[in-house]
Amino acid sequence: MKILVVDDSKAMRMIVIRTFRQLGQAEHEFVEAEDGADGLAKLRSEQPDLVISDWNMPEMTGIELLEAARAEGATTTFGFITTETSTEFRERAIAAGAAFMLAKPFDAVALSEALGAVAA
Amino acid sequence: MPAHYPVPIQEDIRDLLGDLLARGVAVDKTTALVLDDDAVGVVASYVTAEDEVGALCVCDGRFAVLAGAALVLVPPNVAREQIDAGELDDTQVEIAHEVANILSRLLNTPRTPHLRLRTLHRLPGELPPDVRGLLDRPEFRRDFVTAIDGYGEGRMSILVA
Repeated sequence: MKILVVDDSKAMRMIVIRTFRQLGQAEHEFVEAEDGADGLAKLRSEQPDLVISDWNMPEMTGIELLEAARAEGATTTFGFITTETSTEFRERAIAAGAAFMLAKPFDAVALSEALGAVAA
Repeated sequence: MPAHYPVPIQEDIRDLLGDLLARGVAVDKTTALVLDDDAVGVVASYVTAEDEVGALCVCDGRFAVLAGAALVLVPPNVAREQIDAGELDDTQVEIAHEVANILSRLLNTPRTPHLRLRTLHRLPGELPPDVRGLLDRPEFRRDFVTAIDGYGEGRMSILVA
């Protein structure tokens, strides 16, 4: 599976990828993007199977990325890992087509459960 | 007059850092953190949708280095060498930025204006007037000493408008 990790924090991108490895899922191909605009470009060029994105980022936010992707017809599974976990943000994410929304800080168990729910 | 924004207590900080770093963290209240002009540290500014500064998180150099090191699993002995270096490099600032970003969760409630991390300022260094203003005249503040298992102690403060 090809996974696009979108976060303006290099540290957080590393942590997301490391958490997949902790789950025994090191075989995935990971592509990194440093903001929403970069994420949209790589969504087009890399055709990932899964996008995991932060919400607050420069240039283009995560929700703007999701909305732009859906507007282009992309149906890629999309999940957020973000500090924005209020009902308002969650409802907007789900309405835009997000499959899950994890709160930072997250752990391997939470990521596994979110991915399991997507796969079910 | 009550502060406009929530100010986390030590248990909130302890639980969030413990979850973030996946290790034990002890947090206690302490006296106000005052950083000299040449002190090493960071100041995170949190703003409303209108770009009004509502809160700051001020960290001394020890907390910035140790929390960041624990987050990305830099060995404690390497982290201590980094503290001894007496300055924060770009990687340390970037990691501290993510710690500050996650701390923003404690600054939001359904009843207060939404705050997000705007900038992490490296110290020593110039601060913009709105950040300097809140740093000098907060409506309320809490100051903490944190001890991260295996890494050591540092100090951080939350100031709100």
